[in-house]
Amino acid sequence: MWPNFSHIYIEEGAEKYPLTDVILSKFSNTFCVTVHHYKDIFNRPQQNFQSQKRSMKLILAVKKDNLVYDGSEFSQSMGHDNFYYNSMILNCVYNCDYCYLQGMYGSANIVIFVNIGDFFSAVVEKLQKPMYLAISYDTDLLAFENVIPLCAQWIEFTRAQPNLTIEIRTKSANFKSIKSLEPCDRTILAWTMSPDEVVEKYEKGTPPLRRRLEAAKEAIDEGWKVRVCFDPVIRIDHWKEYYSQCVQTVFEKLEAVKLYDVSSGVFRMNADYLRKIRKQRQDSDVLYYPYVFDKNAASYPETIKNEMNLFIQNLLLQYLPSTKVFI
Amino acid sequence: MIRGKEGFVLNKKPIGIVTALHAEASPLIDYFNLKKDIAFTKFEIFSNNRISLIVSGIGKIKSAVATTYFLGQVDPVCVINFGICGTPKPDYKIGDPVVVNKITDVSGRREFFPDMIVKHHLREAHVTTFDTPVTMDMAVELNLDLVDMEASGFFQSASVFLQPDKIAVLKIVSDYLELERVTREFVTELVQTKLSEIDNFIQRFSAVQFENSGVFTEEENLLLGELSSRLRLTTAQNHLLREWATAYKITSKKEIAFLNEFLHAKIQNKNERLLVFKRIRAKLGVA
Repeated sequence: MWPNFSHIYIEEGAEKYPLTDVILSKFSNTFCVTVHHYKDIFNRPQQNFQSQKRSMKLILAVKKDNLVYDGSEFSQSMGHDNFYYNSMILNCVYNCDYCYLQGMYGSANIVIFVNIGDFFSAVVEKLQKPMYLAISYDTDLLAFENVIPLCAQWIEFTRAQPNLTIEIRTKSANFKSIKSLEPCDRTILAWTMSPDEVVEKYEKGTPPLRRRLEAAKEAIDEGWKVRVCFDPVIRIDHWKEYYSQCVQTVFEKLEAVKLYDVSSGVFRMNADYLRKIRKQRQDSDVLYYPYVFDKNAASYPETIKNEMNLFIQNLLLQYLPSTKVFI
Repeated sequence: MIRGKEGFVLNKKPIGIVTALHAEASPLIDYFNLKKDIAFTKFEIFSNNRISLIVSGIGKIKSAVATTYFLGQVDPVCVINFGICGTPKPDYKIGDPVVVNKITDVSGRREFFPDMIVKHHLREAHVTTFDTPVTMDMAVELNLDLVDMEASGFFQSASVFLQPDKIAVLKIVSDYLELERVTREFVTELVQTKLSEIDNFIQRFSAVQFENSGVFTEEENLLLGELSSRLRLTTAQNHLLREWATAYKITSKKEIAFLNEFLHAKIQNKNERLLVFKRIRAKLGVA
């Protein structure tokens, strides 16, 4: 479900980009406010992330530097050497309790960078050798596709760049928004799958497992490469039972041989982000598990982490060869 | 500290209102039946058990000073700057209530943005704060919406104490930059005609304020304080104790009254304190 933004803040200079017109045409009863720089509103001090989540605003801006980042240590590179990610959208329409964005940004408002051509140019500069680019990490790009067709533009761009492979990670069920496109064999559509117990308790606003599976199946049937991600795996009560059921449901709906690959990872987060989130909210037990804070990361203690990884790995190896399983 | 004449219920903070003029405030004082609180001598503050209002005087400096004083003394859950403004634009009607979504300080060339979290049916606009009254020619040349003399000072001060979702600016259009018609009686009459819309906005704004009441009950807060004091915990240990207790309460959904047993632990030295601290840690489920 797409929120009806009451306000759209437009950075000076962003109004001349075609994507701005596309977005504004989708919202008629909206107050438009000009801002000198998007950070004047996005980076204000003392903002309340969860209060803003209840009434998210849209900020349209032009990103001038850092258009491509080196892959994060918290992300899986899936065996790719040249792993990068970018962020054309900051923040997400969903509100997962365990989401690191709450600690990464001061604001829950959504920033969309409208200068997509500059993002393309930045990627082209790095394409002397094969590049793996995650374009939907700090957001859920496919969930936005009805408002701003960024996935479609990235897919068409990728099709024309033989050295480029992109991953579009999502929890949405919005495959229909790109269904009309020809499948691109260097585009991986990656669906995060969680047991419904986790979806209902911690992944607020996201589609249930059944709808994500329907979308993934439709994508496979249309000829797309589909990755399934069990990430983050959360140690809730009866987690073994719930994740066993979830994995079984996934492979009942999706033919294992038709999946590109499967990845899994237990909950982990930048330690400073988790500390910051804990200061802001005391309403979700997933944030208060006695995680181990090790250097920069907070996660389960090593023995528990190993137990969880091994359990999920064994579940997955019942359906897939080890070459297709990334833990 | 809350010092309203009728007093405020603990954990139920009032809504704060800052006005520049007594003429703007008096209709609100009558409408909400606010009483002057004689405990405050630096500024006039009027309160009931729901609303507290301060009269700042004219200009952004006075507004900033009064807001700082008000928020430090009264500690409201949220605060609204209410007052009249001028406009060069004839599409605004005299008496229009307008919610401000952007404030520009003309001398500092800075912009400020309240979080617009209230659903309302009023008009919204951008207000520009000047240090002196503005002429029509200047306002037209700068293509201004609304002009006032307080909003930027109010907002900068309020931002020190409160999150931007707890700060609002509500203006009433009083003139087309013809200051001679803005008499005290005119302002009071203007506000009186819009009281139901003002009240409606205040109600909507207060309805979206969520106070973080904290995870502990009053008794549990006292217990943690007592534990820290009796065990002579260091600042870092006190911080850890609260962190562990918070995690315990949220994950187990159980009370922490069992920590009472540690109130009478006999501690002679640093090592004994550390041992008790470790036992507390284990009881709270921290490995």
